[in-house]
Parts: sequence; C-alpha cells; structure tokens
Amino acid sequence: MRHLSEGSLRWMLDDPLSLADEDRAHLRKCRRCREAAARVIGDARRAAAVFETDHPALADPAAVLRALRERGVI
Amino acid sequence: MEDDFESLFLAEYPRVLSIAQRILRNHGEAERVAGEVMVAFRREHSINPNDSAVRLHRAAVETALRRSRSRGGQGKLRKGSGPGGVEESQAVREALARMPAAGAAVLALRASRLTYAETAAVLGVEVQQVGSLLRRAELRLLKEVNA
Repeated sequence: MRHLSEGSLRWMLDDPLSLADEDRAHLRKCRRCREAAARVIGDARRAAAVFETDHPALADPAAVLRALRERGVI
Repeated sequence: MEDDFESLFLAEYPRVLSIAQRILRNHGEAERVAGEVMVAFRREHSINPNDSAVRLHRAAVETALRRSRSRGGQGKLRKGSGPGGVEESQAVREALARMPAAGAAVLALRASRLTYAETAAVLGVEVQQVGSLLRRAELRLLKEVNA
C-alpha cells in the first residue's frame, strides 16, 4: 500500500475521522508514516504558536452594524 | 432583504474580523478592513444563503492581503500585538505578505475556525487539498520566521 501523504496526515490531526479505515490501519503498522505524522504534528504546533495572536478578534457585531448605519454607510 | 443582511452581518462579521486580524496582526486595521468588506458586500451583492458567507470570507482574505502587501508590512503595530510582542507580530505579518496568497489564506481561515469544507469553498479547491495547502503554509511560515 502507498504511504500516506503529509496533507492527509495534516488533515488527520484536525479531524481524525478524515482517514479511511485502510489508511488508519496502514498508519498503525507503518513506521515511516508514523514518523511523518509526528513531524507534521510537531510542525503544526510550532506554526500555531507562531501564528496565534494575543488579541483574538472580539466583536460585538450588533454594535458595529449600528455604528455603520449611524454613519450612513450601510 | 434588510433583515437578511442584518442576519448575515451578525453571523459573519466576527469571522470576517478574525480573518483580517490574523493577516494584518493589528486590531484597528482589521476592524477597518472588516467594515469595508461588509459595506462593499451590502452594495454589490444580493444575499444568497448558499454562498454569501463564502464570498465574505474570500473578500476578507483578499482585502486584508492587499492591504498588508500594499503597505509592505508597515502598518503601525502596538505593543502586545502578538505573543512575542510587536516584533514577532510584525515578522508574522511580513511573512504572510511574502507567502503565496493561498498559503496565507489557509492559515488565516483555519485559525478563524473555518472547517476544512468551508476553507476549501473560500479557496476554490477540493476539500482533500486543504491539508496539503495547510502543511505547505505551516512549513513556509516557520521558515520565514526562522522558528
């Protein structure tokens, strides 16, 4: 069987159910794919730490809409 | 019609703002972009339950990236704009501006909690491609910021 792509492994990290049963069985048996999965997971976690923001967007959409209407732009 | 737009605005403005903020790394600038995106949508599109959200998210990505690239990452970032402070936030913004648009987009969309299917719809790709795009984008980001 072919090895799993890094894209499939990345998707699996976010959604374990994205892997087909046969792919999951392959991953359990294949050392090369397990090592690739560990690399993908580590890189994803490092990238998330870099990409995260201190101030995730908090918004009161009703207040924003009201303000835009008061300014006459909507 | 107006009720439809209001419902769309209330449902989608937070994610439009989040997408813009992930790319611009600056809350004030992201708020301006999010407002522009919503106003432009109101003027140019009718509400379609099937694709209005996709159009808004795509416009948020495109407008924020255009803004970031046109200013060469020179937007004023305040202290505390990112976990590592202003310098790291500026580095991430500049990295995103240098990356292929799809790479910057997939990072911003997923960080804004869009699903793989939603992300694929915004990018105009098959859902099976999102993992590969995300993997490449993460590697490029790490390389760009030397993490």
